Amino acid sequence: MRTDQRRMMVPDETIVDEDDRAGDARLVEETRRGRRDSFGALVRRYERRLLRVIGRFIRDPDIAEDLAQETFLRVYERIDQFDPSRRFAPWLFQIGVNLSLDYHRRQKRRRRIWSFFFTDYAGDRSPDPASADPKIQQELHEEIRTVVDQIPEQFRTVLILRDLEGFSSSEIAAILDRKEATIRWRLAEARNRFQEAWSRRQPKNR
Amino acid sequence: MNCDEVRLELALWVGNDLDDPARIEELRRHTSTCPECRLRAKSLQSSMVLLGATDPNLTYDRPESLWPELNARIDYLERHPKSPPPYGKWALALVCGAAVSVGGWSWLNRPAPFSQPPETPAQMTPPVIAPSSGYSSSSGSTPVAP
Repeated sequence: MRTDQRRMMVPDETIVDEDDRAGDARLVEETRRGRRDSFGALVRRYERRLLRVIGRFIRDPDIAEDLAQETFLRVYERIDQFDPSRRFAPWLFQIGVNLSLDYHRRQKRRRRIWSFFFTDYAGDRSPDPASADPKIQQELHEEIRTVVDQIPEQFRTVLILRDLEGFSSSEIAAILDRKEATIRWRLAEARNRFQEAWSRRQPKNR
Repeated sequence: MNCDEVRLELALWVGNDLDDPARIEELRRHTSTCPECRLRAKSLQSSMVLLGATDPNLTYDRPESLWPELNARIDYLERHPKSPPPYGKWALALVCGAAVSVGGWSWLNRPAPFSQPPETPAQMTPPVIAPSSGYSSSSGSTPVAP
């Protein structure tokens, strides 16, 4: 487990500013020409943010890290297919988010199958040393996360990217390959669903 | 503007995701006069604050970069490229195409049910009229009453 290496992070405001964008294009071009160290620079530029985003979907830090590595490997393998007229960051996050969602779906399916045979099966929710500590704040965060997890995927993804990770609607539209209007509608619906689920849950627990 | 129309936009408004100032003004006026929507806006606002509070403890980072490990993996993958499956997708497509062609050909040339070989004029047999007592066949094939 690598949970002991965790530390707090300050969320970034946007994916990338204009300077970074120009830098990304140059690094992508150099990577295409075979300069591995340029790809290394891209990895170092985005790894923390990517890990954070994946960590929103996947609770286990080891799995999140493996998925982050897989994301970068896929980007490296497909760098020739990347359209240079597009921005690099949404493409990277698109691959990362898709991998995380795929993993989450498979995990859910497996959990459903197991719970069919073994009713007390707890799935992959291995106790996290950080959450094993019974702090009230931690419990609250876990509870919030549980409520977020109950929201259907199409809304949850937008909620996480916008309200937890601070991506703009246009960035989310690029990451999820949807129209901005669709993203805004899903965001509104997601917020409403979270609010309703949270207030339904409150009288039971508080 | 009624409460149903407000419901979705309210959720965008509380998160500063609504750009149209005219729309914002309408929402503001509606919520100032509608207690239910006002309450809803408050609840949405609180739940968003709650969501924002999940940030620090649930995010994690690793102090070392992923790059050294990734670089080693890329090295390995480049030295040991994945061999493509024999004949690849084209072979599968060809096999499927051939199977469909053979199946289609056999179906088109299948023997028709209850078929008989076509009769030649020489083989045609004249209609047989059964001889009967009481009817004369001398005047042709038309039976004549006695």
